[in-house]
This record gives sequence, structure tokens and C-alpha cells, in this order.
Amino acid sequence: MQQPAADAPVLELKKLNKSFSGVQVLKDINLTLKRKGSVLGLVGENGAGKSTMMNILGGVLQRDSGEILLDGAPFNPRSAVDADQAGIALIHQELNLFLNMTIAENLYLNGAPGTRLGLLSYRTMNAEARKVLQRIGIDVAPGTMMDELSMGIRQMVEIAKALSQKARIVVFDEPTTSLSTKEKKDLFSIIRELSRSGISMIYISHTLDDVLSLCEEVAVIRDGAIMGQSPISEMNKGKMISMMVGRKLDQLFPFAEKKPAEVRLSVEDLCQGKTLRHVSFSLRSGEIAGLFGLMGAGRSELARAIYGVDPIERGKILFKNRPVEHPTPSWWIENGMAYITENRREEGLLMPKSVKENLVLASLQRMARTFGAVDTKAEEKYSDQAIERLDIKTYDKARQLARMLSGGNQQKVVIGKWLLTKPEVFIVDEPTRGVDVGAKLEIYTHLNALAREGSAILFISSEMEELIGVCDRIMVMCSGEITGELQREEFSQEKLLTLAIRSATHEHAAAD
Amino acid sequence: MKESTTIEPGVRPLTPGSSLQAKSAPRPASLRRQIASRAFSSVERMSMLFFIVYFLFCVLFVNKFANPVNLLNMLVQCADLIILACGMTFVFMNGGIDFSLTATLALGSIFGARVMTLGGDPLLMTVIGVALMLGIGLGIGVLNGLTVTRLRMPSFIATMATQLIFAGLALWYTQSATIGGLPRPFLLIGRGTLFGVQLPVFIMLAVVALSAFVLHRTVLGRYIFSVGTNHRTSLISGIPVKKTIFSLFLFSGGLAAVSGIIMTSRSGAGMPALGKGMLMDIVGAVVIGGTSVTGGKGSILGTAVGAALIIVLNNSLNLLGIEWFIINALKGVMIVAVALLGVLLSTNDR
Repeated sequence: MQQPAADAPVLELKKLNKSFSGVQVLKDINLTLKRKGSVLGLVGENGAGKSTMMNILGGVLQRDSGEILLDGAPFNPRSAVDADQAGIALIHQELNLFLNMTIAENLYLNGAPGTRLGLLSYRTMNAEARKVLQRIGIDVAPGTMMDELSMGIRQMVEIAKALSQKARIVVFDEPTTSLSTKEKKDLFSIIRELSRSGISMIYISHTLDDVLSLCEEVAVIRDGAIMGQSPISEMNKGKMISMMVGRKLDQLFPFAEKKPAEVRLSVEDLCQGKTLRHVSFSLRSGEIAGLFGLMGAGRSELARAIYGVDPIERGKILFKNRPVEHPTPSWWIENGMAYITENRREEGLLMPKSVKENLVLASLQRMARTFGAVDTKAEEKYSDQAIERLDIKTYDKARQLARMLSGGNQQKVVIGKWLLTKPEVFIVDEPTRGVDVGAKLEIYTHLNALAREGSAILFISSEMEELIGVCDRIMVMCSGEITGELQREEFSQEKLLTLAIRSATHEHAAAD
Repeated sequence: MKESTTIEPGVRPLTPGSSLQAKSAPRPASLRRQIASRAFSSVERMSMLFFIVYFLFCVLFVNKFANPVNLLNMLVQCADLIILACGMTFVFMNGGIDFSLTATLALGSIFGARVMTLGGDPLLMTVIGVALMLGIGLGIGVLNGLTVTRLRMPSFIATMATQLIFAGLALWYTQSATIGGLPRPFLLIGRGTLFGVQLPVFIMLAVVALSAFVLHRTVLGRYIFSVGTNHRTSLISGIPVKKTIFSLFLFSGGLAAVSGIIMTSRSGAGMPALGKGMLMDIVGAVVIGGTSVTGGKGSILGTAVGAALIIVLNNSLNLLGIEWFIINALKGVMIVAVALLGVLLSTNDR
């Protein structure tokens, strides 16, 4: 590696501009990664231009004007390969790994060590892979298939891949969205380790606390322009948020007084193998009940079992005091329950279909006229109502595809789809995941309004802050059991976490 | 049901200036460009454009092409292919394929013919024969549908199996012989004319109208598009995924039977190898019509255009004295071109 000029920053973006079909998405972007090993946080709402910026840096997109300086020398990546060779690695939100291959095969997709005449040498490859894995402290055999690994480890493998390609600058795009708390801690210690060994990083995230604890400097981007870059010592969460959206922190989690009334949904002694153990709870109209738990605690599994997507071994489900014998999605839709899954891309939306088609999807049955023809007028009217009520930003609901919307708007389309089925009970699973601060606020506000109007809402989340901010009470799950419940007066992150890890430690004790 | 959470009709104020309404009003300045850009925005439209251009070219430059007898003849050939391809389009909508179409033709043809030649009142025997042939088509559809939805077998394998089994059965049962002597009323289905145009053409028009109605206008059609796009989202949105997939095979089996009735009637005999070699043209018609092989995208009109294009291509190249194997190669080139176009268009609208 050539010796960089002593005072030149590792990476500098100068007056970068980019527009897509006439719309300017980046305006005179200036960004500096000052020295080797520094970690720069980049925060901003979805659609603010972070991804475009990183794609330009990674050679995926070409800039319209401006300069990129790498160690003070101009750098013009024409393709992803150029960026790779310059030592820039992008770690995307959706990992670019092949799940049907081993770790080592993924690490050396573009050229394996020890290859002779096109024949792979698994021995050399695995040995090299082991070295890289050890460097970031993962103790997994390089021959392990990717699909056997947890999301956290997969993320580590992606980092290992960057290292194996001798990356000098690593860009993380929302790396923690699908990690458990433990995995997140491991990731952060690796990031600190990499920083010590001289690798510079850009860390993009919506989780401001992480940015505050990890980064030396933070830059805020809004509407394609950098609002400011300053050392972390001069930054705090409130300042970042107001720079991002122009709103204050206390407005981020709006709590609404409600009047909980009769029980709408109750679950008694629900069991499903090891994932759900004797779960009982009830949900009242007019309340938002939180359901907290760490990854794998069984929160989503509980929702899926109630909704009839996964089978139930034992237990009773009562809806408005009537037993539900065989719950199925269509039964629930007919009787008034909505289920917003944690995975809007795979289970919430038809990504290549229009906003309108997505909105009416769950209420098609009610739109049938003679010969099963779709009542297109009703379709127009209902989809317009959902767009209006939720303020979904779309330029043409019949032609704009769901995948072209921002994360927040996509989630609003999912919510809109369910509103049109006129539900009285909502199960919402991680409704704000991968959604920017502004859209989060909107989603909380809509949930509050629904509860005030008398809906019963079960709010599943792994973000303690939002549950504490929005819910009337919070139930906590751990290893398939409900380990406790906190009322609003008792809310604290410590109590939630204690409940969330309690029975796990009990079990360990029992196993020992 | 509470009033408050529900979204009641008429809540939305119908302000004439709202952006949503403005879209529907034509804007004369860019109208021509809009039409042009729409014409090139999908495989279906490109195929249609190409069909029109090619058809005009043939009318002008291919000797005997525009001869009324030739045109009518092509129309009848179109009827067979379009009806079969409509059935295939349904199965394609879920990213599947139905190889058993031609076996359905053959099996229906020989058993229908066998029953109709038992003797008795010709009209009654015709009704029984037609009912039996429809029953065989739907029956094979049920079998395919059950194998795919219950046994979770890919349609590629399931229908290949039924194709081999029933095509084999048809040949074994007849020992490759045809079954002639069909009742007169039955022969009318394929040979009768109305206003100088043969009846199958009208049947084809009815099939196209009905299929297009089901696929593009009904709730079932919406289910089909949704299931073809994403099973999991559909399931969670309360759509009966398995029933929808099952129905696709009923459509393909039923329409194969309709086509079998027409073709058997026209040839005047039950044929154990009816429709042999048509499979590639059927698949070609659907693909050229812009229906996605991965599901969730397609149209009946596109399929009809695709089928018509194949027939016109066959006919015109034949008239030009080009050998059949070169015609096949040209059709292959065209399918690749269309597939390529589909890829280009779908990466464009990212």
C-alpha cells in the first residue's frame, strides 16, 4: 500500500451532486473521514440520500459532479470492482451472502487462494478463512453452511469478507436491524477492534444511541444535503434528531391517554414445542399492550400461532369471549383481526405490484360483485381513503410499485391494507423496523389514534424505548414464556431487560 | 363493528383539483409521447406492435398471404392455439407449467370418440361425448392441481408425469389407431360456419373474453396475480393460496378439453396423438405474449397476440418456401429476443 500524504484525510467527498431523472438527490455533499481508524456516523431519514451516496462511493452509481479524494488523490470508481480494489467495502442492510454455500466459499467468491488451473483448493481456502475469522474473533468452522448461522454471525462473515479483500474503508449500512442484543455487542467490539487496527469506517444507522457510543464524528444528512459534521462530543441525541427532522426528542414517542375497556382477545395456555410454553394473556379494546423480548424469545412465533400461520399444539384462543377452534388468516380477517408481520418485504407487501393493488389485497373478498367481478369503484375509493388517512406519499397509486416506496411509506401501505379490513384487534410486529424517525412518529400516532378509537393493539418490538414511550403496559417474553408484565408507572429499561433474560438464566442454572 | 376505526365510504372529499384525479385527465401536450412510451413499456405491447408490422409486411410482400382462404385458415389455426395457450397462461401466472395439455387433448379425443361411436341418438351421443371430454380435461386438471397443492410437487414434474401417463394410455388403448365415424352434430362443432367464418373462431373469442374477464376483472383473478407474486404475503392477507393454485389447473385442463373437442370434430376422428408437437408453440405463445415465467405477471390479450404471431410466422414463412426446421429456429430466436426484452424492461423500471 502506498504511503498516504501525512495530512490528507483518508476519504474526502467534495461538492458531490447526483440526480435521478431530473430530481436532485444529492446536493453539494461534503464529507470527511479524517484519519485511519476513525469511525464516522452517518444519520438521516430514509430517502435522505445515504444509500445513493454510498453507492457512488462503492462504484455502483456514477456521480454527476464533485470530487472523491482517497488519501488526497482523486478517485473515480467506475464499477464495484474499482471500489473493491481501492479497499472500499460496503456492508449492506440485506447481506450479500449465498446461504447455500459455506463460509469459506462466501469469503472467496471472487478468487479463492490456492486455486490451480481453475481447481479450488479447499484446504488452503479453509485455512485462510480460519485466519480471517479468528481475526474478528468468531469461532466457527469455515466449512459451515451459511444457512446454519444466526443473523449476527452472518453479519460477521460479511465483515470477514471485507477483511479478506483487504478493505481500508468499510461502510456499514444499518448493520444492527436484525441482530440480537448480544450479537450487537459483539459487532461493536469488532468495529472498535477494526478501528484500532487502522481501518476507517462509515456507520449508517437509525439507532442514534449506537452512533453516539461508536463514532468519533457524526454527519447528519437531510433531503440530500449534509446538515453538519461534528465531533461526537458536541452532539447529543436531541440535536441529531432535530437536525434530521426538525422536531424535538420528547415528541418522538407520543403517548395518548386511552380508556381500556372489554377484553377482545385472550390466549390461554398456548403451547408449541419449545418455542411457546404455556402462554396466557389478554388484550383489551382501547389499549396498546407491548410485547418485549430478545431475539428468539418467541414473540413473533406467538403472533404467528395466534394468527394461524403456524400450528398450535395446545391451548385456547378466545376472540370476544368466543373460542376460536381453527384460526386461519381468512377467518381472522373476516372477524376483525389484523396482523402486521415483522417482515414487510416478504410477508407484508407484493413488492412488484402497485400501491393500490397492495392496499386492497386483504379486502378483495368484500369487493366482489356479480360473477366475482371486482368492484373497481370501491377499490378506487377504499385505496384513496387509506392513502388519505395515513398520508401515504405516492405519485400514482395505480402505477407506483411498492418496492419503489421508502421504508416508511411501505409500512404505511401495509397498515393501510389492514385498516381497510376494518379490524378491531391489531397485532403489529416490529412496525418501525428500518423506518426513519419521521415515519416512526407517524406510525406511533396512527397506533394511538386506532387505540383511542377502541381497537386493541398488541405491539411487538425489540426496541425498549418505543415500547416504553407508546404502550400502556408491557409484557415480556423469554424462551417461549411470558415472564412478567409491567404497568406504565413501573416502566424502565432495567426491569424490562431483567424479565427478558430471567428465565434464560434459570434454565441455565437448571441445566447445570 | 365500531364506527370509529372503520373507514367509511365517502369520507374522502372529492376535490376536483386533487392530484389523484388530475392524473386521469388527458394532457394533450404529452399525449403522443405517453402513447409512445406505453407502447414500448411492456413485452406484451412490443409483441403487439411487432405483430401488426409483420402482418402488414406479409400482406404486402408475401404472395398468397392475403388470400381470404389463407386468412380464414390461419384464423382457425389460431383458434386451437389460442384456447390452449389461454389455459397455459393461467398456470404460468403462478410460475408453473402444464405439460399435460397435449395428453389431455389425446385422451379426451379417443375416449370421446369411443363413446360417441357406441351408437344411439346422434345428438344425445354428441352431448355425452362433449361432456365426457370436458370431464376428462377437468379430471386431469384436478389430478395435476392436487399433486401440486397437496403433495407440493413442482408443476414441472407433476404435469410431465401426467403427460407421459395419459399420452401413453391413449396410444396403448387405441394401439395407435384413429376412431372414426363420429355423429354428425359433433362434426358441426369444428366444421360449421356462421357468416362464412368457422364456429371454432367464435368459440375462441368466447374463451378469450371469458379468460380475460376471470384473470383481469374478478376477485379470483386478483388472487391469481397475488399468489403468483408472493405466496407468503398472499397467505397472510387471507387469500386461499392452495385453492387459487388448484383453480389454475382446472382452467388449463378445461380449456385443453375445449380445444380437444374442436380439433377432434374437425379431424372427424378420435386421434391418440392429437396435438402432438403443439406444446412448444403453446409455451412460445404465452412467453411472446409477455407472461412472466416466474409468475405474477401476464395477460390473456398478450397470449392471444403471441399465438397469432406464431401462426402468422408459421404460415408466411411456409408460403415463402422456408423449411420447417428453419422456421422452428426462427421461432426460437424470437422467444430469446422476447425473454431478453422482458429482462431489459424489468431492469429499466427499477
